[in-house]
Amino acid sequence: MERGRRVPRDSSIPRLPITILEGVCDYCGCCVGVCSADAIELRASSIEIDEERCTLCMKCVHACPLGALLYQGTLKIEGKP
Amino acid sequence: MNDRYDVVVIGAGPAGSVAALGIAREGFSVLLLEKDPQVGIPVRCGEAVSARSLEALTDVDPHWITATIRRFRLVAPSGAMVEPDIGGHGYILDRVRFDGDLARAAVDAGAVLLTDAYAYGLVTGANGFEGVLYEHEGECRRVSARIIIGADGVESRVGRWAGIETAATLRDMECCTQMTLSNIDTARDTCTFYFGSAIAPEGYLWVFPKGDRQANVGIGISGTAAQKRRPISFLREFVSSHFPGAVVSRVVAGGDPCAETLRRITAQNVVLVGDAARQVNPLSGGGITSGMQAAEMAARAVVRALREKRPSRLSEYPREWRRKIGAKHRTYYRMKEVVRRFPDAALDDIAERVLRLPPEKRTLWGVFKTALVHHPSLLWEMVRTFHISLSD
Repeated sequence: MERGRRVPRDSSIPRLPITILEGVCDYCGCCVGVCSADAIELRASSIEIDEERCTLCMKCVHACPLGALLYQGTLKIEGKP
Repeated sequence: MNDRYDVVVIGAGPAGSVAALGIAREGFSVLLLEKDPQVGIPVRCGEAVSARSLEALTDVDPHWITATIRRFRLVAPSGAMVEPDIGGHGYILDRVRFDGDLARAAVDAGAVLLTDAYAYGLVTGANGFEGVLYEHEGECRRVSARIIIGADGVESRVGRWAGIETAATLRDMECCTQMTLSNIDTARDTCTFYFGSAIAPEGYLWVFPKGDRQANVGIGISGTAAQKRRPISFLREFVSSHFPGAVVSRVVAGGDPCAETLRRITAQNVVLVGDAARQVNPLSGGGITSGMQAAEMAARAVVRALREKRPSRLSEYPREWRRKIGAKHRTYYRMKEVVRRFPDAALDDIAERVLRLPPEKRTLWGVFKTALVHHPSLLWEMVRTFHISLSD
């Protein structure tokens, strides 16, 4: 009975298994600097990952100095735990 | 406001403002877009610069300086401290004032500055890019430009929009966090750097004094190290053990692309400068003055291209950059690659040996030479990666 998961969405696009902790993120752009897919939209105080562009390479998750990006998926990605 | 400019500069950090100034004062119209509501805020920077580099670029306003640095202290993992002669002096800036004044100088020269203006794309045309799309006060706008300068920092996307691959590798991205501390005891004229796997793996931790009982205490470690343990976690541990009782007035994060300069820093009528072009000194991570130098070179090339109506003149900028600074950065990059492989025991050994040198030989170069001479395997790597002269 999870709340907040009932928003209708395009089922052809997998839900991004990366969560951004908005209270932790400092909008510094370190994640954007390593993103090869140009998938992150960073403004002065907002951040968004484009699900369609993201290749799930996880570089942004690894690079975040504050640990504000969390990988929460169950997708098995080669070479990643 | 016009919707047509000779040049649109994206990002009003030091590189963007210096480029805007250099072009505006030659009589061309310049629009300077800044995504933050105020230029210079937030400061994502240790704020250290070499006095010589800064003085070569601009008249230094004493209001920019929060501390004058005369000594470096390098701390090995064992705690052994080496104080090499730095052969000059440095400053710790107040980047809010500094960045603000540089942007103001561009405006005084005729540039139009728009803050809270978020660029989100380029307008493509038959002959290169025709303009910039940006958001301001909730409204999407479009501005035409003959030349577009991307000075949009580590998070640059302008290059990607123009077809340049700009993403840094995890290895090269130094992931940083910094606390500004007050109510602490620290030497006002000394920058201290801590090395070692327990404090700052694949990077270093810095303590830069900032005026009265204040300091920027920060850490930068590679993305590959950061994925194992976050920079903020290392920094919290260091601050609580070294500065108990300190008041933390600010915490910021940031990325420092300690890479070689991008292979391409221009594409058609788009020019990249500063962190956006990866023009950071990859060994130290410093990028203020090198970004400003690049911006001056870029501005000169842009002015020539505009005057002669020949975009091909822009190629003079990457040539000049490579010749004057890029080649050096390439060497620094290779030095970083070698230094990073030093295990803690080697760093301790180097510190001990340097402490046995007569004081006049304790220079930064002396430290590096000691490292090479006493760790032949590293010397071999050094020789293999680039030809280094061992003469002073």
